[in-house]
Amino acid sequence: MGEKYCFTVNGVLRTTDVDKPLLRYLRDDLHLHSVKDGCSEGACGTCTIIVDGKAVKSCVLTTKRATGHTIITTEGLSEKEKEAFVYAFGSKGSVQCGFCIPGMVMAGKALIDRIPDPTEEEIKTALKGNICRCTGYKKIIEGIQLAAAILRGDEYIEADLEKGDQYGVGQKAFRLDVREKVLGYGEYPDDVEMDGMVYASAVRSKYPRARILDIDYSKALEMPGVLTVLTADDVPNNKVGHLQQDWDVMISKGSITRCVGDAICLVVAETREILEKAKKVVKIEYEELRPVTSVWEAMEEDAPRVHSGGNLCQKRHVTRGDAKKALAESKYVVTQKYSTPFTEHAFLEPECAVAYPYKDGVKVLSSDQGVYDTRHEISIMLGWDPERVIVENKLVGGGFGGKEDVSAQHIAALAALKVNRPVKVVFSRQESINFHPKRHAMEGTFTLGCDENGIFTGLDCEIYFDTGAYASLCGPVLERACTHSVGPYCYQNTDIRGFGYYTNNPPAGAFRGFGVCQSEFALESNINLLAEKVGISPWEIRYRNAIEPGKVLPNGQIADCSTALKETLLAVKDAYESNPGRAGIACAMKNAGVGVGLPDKGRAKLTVHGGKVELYSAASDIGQGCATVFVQMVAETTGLGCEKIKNMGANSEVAPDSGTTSGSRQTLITGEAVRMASADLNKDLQEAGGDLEKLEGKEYFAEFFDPTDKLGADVPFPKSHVAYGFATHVVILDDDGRVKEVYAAHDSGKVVNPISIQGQIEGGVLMGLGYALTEDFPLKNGVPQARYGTLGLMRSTQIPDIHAIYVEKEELLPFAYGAKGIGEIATIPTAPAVQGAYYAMDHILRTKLPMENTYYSKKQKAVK
Amino acid sequence: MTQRRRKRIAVVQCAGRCRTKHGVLREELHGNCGRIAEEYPEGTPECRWGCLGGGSCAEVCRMGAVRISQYGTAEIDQSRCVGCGLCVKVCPRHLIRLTFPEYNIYPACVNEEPGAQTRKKCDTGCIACGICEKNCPVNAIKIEENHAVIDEEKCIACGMCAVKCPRGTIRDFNGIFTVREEQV
Repeated sequence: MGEKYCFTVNGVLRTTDVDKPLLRYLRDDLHLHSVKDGCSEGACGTCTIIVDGKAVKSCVLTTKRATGHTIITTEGLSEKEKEAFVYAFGSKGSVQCGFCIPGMVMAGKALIDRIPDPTEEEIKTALKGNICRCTGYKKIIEGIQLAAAILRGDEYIEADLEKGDQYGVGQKAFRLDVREKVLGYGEYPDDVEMDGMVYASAVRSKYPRARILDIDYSKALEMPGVLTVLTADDVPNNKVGHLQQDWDVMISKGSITRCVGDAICLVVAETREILEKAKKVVKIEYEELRPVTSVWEAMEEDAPRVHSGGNLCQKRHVTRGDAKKALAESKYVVTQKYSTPFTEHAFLEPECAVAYPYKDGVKVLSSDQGVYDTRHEISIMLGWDPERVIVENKLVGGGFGGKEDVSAQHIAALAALKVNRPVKVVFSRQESINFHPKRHAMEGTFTLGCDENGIFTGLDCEIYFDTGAYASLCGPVLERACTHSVGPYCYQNTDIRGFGYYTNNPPAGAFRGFGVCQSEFALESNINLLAEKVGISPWEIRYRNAIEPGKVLPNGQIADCSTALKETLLAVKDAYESNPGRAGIACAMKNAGVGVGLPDKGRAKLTVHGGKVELYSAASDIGQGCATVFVQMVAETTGLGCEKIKNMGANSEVAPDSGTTSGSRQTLITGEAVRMASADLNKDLQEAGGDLEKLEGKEYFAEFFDPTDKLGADVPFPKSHVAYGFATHVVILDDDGRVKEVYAAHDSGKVVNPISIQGQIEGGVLMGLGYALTEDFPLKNGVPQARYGTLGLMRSTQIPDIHAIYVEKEELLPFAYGAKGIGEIATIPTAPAVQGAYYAMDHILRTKLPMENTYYSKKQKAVK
Repeated sequence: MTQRRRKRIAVVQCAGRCRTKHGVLREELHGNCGRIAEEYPEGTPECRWGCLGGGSCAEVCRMGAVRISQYGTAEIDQSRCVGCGLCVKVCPRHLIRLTFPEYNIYPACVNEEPGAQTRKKCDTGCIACGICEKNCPVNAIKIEENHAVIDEEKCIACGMCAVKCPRGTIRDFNGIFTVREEQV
């Protein structure tokens, strides 16, 4: 036998003779699942453990190098430490998707052990190697401070908070999933282990556009432990797609690939190790072809066709009034071109799914944004009745729109049915980056006019979206970009033309903001130029044009009673005006709910079982906290405490379809359905004298649907969406041009959970700052050049002071206690506000993202 | 909450595994490093960038944190070091650098000769192979003048470069990713 490696893990002496990454040993051999695999490249920090008192990334360390060292994982914390972190992270709102959290806890513990009373700066430094994509770090820093104070004995745990007797709307409710996420025992799909489970992974194209001449997997099949290799021939119907089924499950022999993420064959093997080896011996013969790499190339007449129907994937024409005439008659007009990049979601949890034969079909344990969407896509692929496919969400480690399309789920289901065993498919980080749809890159020309008082007259714009290899959600995303390019103002002349083109770049689809980040960046930048011409401040021009209740939005919809854009402007006025020459401002609106005439329904079922209310509603909680919000709605309506209510999760077998987690819709749309069902339950509960036991076995179902008008409907004041959220952000720079502070004022209607909404705002703002300043997605002939660590994601040491402000009005919408959703809008106005701040400082209009010639871009260049 | 002064720590950018020149044994060296440097401008070891081993740094250190190791090079005990910088000032080779405790990963070589030369002369010298550059997840390490240089602004101290370095040039002063001197 070879060498033996001995080390101590959580107090137990362990010995192994296999030299491999410690991460793999801890997860696969010791089943310590708190140690998360976010990248296996040393970049993300989700696998952070403590070695000899230091926070260390376990994917970098090997079993051999761990010899003689003492290792602690979250599982090995003392009871006192566990309770301190659970309470601190829960009460401060440090936990969203939770995938980074055990790593954050370990980094925090290593620091607290060294410095019992760490300063904010010391905590930021300690977290420099740990990425969080949800929270904006602020809440995690506060959580670590509180945990330290509890461990010092300066603060105490209030057990009542987690117990949640007071759990109604507006309460500082302790999230339902805090404990399992902090301690790392909550299951994401990659944490699932089943008897007889095997692994599958796709061999993907080397080139964005190439003809597949031959696929030779004979060597792989010969390897012991390889069960099968599947190709397009093994797929009943080789097409999937969220809305348009244009996405090949695998590219067949003789066909042409469309992007580097394309799967060519699927290898199924007994272990991860065999799988990796087998994938390497699959030989694919390509005929490399010239790829289409931009919308300009795609629209050329002789351009290669990415899809047989041509390269124009989607187009929209949104028009009201007479923009041409209005602009011709305007006192001031500005025209500018803008360019924004693809953006990678960079959720901490790479795509993963486990599928196994189940009843007369297949069951998939997944990480996605809608179990019924996944069921729909898989059933199309299999040519089955949807009911035979069951999809259940495990914990979802972040989505931001990037987990709306199927990625691992359908190939796991396919493989499971072929080998008749449970199959796990887990993407590597690079596979994730290459595969899933990004935020669309945009090229656009925007013309905005106003009169002598700065009152907007009309908008003309042309928007080009690069939707990459597949449509994904190109249609609706392009449509939202068009409909929201007008901004939250009132003027009635618009002519907006949007085009989405196929290219051989990675696909683009949904991403927090849903097209609006791009178009509002352009619009808001133009507004600053107009303000200058009129001779009024950027704040003033926005206030003069701001939509208010009863006024008509540019799409014809009458702003409802809850509209509070002006209130958000007033909330940041002082901050803006007290920082002349270094502050930027921008507004935004974002729909809540899918709207535009679609049957966007929320559904919920409550069952009284075992003395508790069980809540069934298939609405994916991707970290934003909707599962908690729904329980708060039940608590508010019935007066029951959190302990009496159980959210049964998103499972298509038992929970009714409540739509996709998209379009900031769950809090309002599903929330209202939950409220309706709760109201019915409460009626019976009151009649039963408040005794829940008497309702045992009863069921309450509710469906919420508030009809909207389709785009371009010929009605006087078409109602596009059920509700709109509004926001104003102010960004303030310091002398070096670094973002010092961000004031983010939001109108999201009634705030359901004040802790959660702050985390949503802070996280959204930081994502917006990244979009504005540091994040890029460089491509070389259609091939992504970035790795997780070089995407430009903001780290803890880079964050400014973010002030999350929410304005709550007396007048609210009659749905879901007046809540309107916060998910997307938090990230929209930040980038144009940053642009405005730099423009105020040096008078250079930066029309391209990420912005050039800033503190952040210089910093990167200085390093060569 | 009050801000504390950020602690600094010294690191020696030479691991000293070069083969000592014939005739220049440590016992024959006299005086401080300044004098040795004058006497042997090409270095007492074969490498003209490496540590001279005269121990001037150890002499000036008030904390007893610096010693000359079995390989004849300066070595710092990070638990004793207070980051005062006296050793940095006294080193005629400018081999000692102050950094922060969180940047525990550092290349212990600054030689500027091509890799093939270095390989002949030293067992731990940087040969500018670039494996660290390829493996760094955040593009924080670059080969400059034939040796690896870390940009601490970008570095997240993940240790990947130290683990992948085929020569053991890149080290971890916490002794986790690489073995510490005293453990040898």
